[in-house]
Amino acid sequence: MMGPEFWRMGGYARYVWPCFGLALGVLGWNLWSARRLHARAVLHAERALLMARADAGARGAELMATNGLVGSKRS
Amino acid sequence: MWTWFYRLASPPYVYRVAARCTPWLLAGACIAMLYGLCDGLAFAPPDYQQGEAFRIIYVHVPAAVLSLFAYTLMATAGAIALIWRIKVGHAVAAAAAPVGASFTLLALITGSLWGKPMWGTYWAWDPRLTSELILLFLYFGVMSLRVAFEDPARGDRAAALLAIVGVVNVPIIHYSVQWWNSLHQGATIIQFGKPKIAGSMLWPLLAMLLGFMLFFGAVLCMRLRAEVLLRERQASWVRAAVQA
Repeated sequence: MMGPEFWRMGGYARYVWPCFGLALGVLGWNLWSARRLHARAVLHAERALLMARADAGARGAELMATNGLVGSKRS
Repeated sequence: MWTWFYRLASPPYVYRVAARCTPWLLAGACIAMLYGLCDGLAFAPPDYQQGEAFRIIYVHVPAAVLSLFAYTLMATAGAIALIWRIKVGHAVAAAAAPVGASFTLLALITGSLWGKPMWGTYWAWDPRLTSELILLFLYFGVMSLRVAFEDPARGDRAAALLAIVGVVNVPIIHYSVQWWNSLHQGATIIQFGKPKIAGSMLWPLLAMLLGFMLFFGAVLCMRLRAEVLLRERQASWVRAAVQA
């Protein structure tokens, strides 16, 4: 089946083509949403890493200040 | 066998394996779907009763099969997570739910578009159609329940329980055309003896089925990696993976 007859689908074009278009849309949405979810997860993990580093830095500074190694911000 | 099973319970192992499998699964899906589409749309002969409208089968059947497969996988993963307390099981279930729901919706809409020229109506409260609609609501229920609790672990457990209870709907959908009078046609491929469909129509259908399955596998791997990252973001291996 070739040419205009292919696109007419024996008179059923308005049922057949929307089905294939919708299937393409669902496949595309699945790919897009999975990539978006992964990007969000990486961002969350990076934030958690930054917070952990900041936390560790603050704790280290506090410990050094307590031991009198450097001047504390409070003094 | 058991060693492999226990390795699958390790989030970093699952994260690595999923990353490795995704491009292969996607490539396989593209090849199978391309062949299925070309053969199914251009070369398969028209049906003697339904004419060219039968070509909707090449997206409707794979979507419907996948809707049942994804639900069964989700319930199995939920059961594994509940019984053996394997957290990756909950991640698999969470990753499968939206993909399965989208394919259920696709099966319902393409079925409805196929129903209009064949049955004269877009929708009938037929056993097959109704049980498939219930499956969509079950997917929505499982996804909503997972995020309804403040404690994510409680949400995971509740969602897994609903998925397990709802799995009873899967054989109901499959056998509905045999158990009750239905507008919907009977099994075409999976039945004892020879399939009811001619080879020239069957091969593109099998290719599309394989393509949809591989695509589901690829998207599941992508979502699974994200779920594992979100759930394990405080773990040291995640920090190493993010820094890399």
